[in-house]
Amino acid sequence: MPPCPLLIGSESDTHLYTIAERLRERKIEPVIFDADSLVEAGYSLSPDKLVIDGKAIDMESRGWLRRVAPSRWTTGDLVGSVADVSLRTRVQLVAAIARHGNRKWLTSIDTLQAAEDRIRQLAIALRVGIATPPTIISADPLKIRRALGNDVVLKPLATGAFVNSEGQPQTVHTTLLTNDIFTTGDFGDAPFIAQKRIEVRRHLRVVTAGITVRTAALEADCWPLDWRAAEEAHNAWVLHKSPEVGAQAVQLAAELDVGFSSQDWLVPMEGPPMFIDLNPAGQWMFLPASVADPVTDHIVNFLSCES
Amino acid sequence: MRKINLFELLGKPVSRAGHDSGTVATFTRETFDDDTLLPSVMDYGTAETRAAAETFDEDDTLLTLL
Repeated sequence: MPPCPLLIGSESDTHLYTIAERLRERKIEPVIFDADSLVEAGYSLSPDKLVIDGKAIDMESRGWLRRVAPSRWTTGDLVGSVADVSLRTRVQLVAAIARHGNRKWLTSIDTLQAAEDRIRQLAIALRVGIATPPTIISADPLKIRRALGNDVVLKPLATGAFVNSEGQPQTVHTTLLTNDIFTTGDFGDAPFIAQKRIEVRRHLRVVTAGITVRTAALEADCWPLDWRAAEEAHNAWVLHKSPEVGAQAVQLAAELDVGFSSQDWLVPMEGPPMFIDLNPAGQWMFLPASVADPVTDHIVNFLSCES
Repeated sequence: MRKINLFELLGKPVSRAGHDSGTVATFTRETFDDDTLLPSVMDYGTAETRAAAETFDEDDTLLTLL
């Protein structure tokens, strides 16, 4: 029997729950925790020993970092408050656990963080010959238009989720750079990615897990500029065969050294498919089973020490 | 003319219930997921509390990350 794998996240997350159940079907009981649940589970960590919930964790176990801490929209915790500093300290502990011992992670914590850098992703894609949309981040909207022209989209550099001054949760989708935004927006305060707008025929979601790769497609003409804004779009993805894109996606994941990736690509009206961004902790289970299941299988096999 | 922060300018309200409880609805769909390894910590603010004196300074290289 392999050592109990570590899953960092919460079983209220469908992705983690599904992986955990698949492991249990194999009579493997994972150890599941995040920066919040550690409090109740109890823990102790020394250079040569990790104990969670009273159980000593094998130094050679495998692990999957899904989410270090739950989302915290609208908690209202102030920066520097006791709640804030306590959470950050627990996050540091989870990071220490993720670096502890000789455990093999699907993607290590430091690799994962570095892989979330979107500009780095684009630079690597360009280096290996993958097409990408012309991109710039600038505090000056004039520089954006000079670099990209007048047909430009904006999206957050990292998370688009925030709480506004009235305490209401908000999100930012990919948005066209209109004259109004050009005139009134403060482009320096919060850096956004600007990209030349591409006339899109089809969105692709390419999911890699090791050398396992599956692609799903969404026809672009039925949905908003950012398909995420349409709830129904989540159910409209279909299996798509694109060996060339699949091979490039695997190459990109290998360059970033991530064991899993969820990648967004576009098929333009003209020209080759374009890489948009890669998420090393993204989602795949909303995709059709023919796309999602092989990826899930790969992760379960990895955590079971069968790959 | 006062310029408006792009989050303020482009943010749209999230109408789905239950999201703020943390994880139940958050990670089942793409729409409102932060999708990052450290969504909660990334969301936390920056160095508003930073002081010049060493005593009160944050020592972290990445204040909002790890």
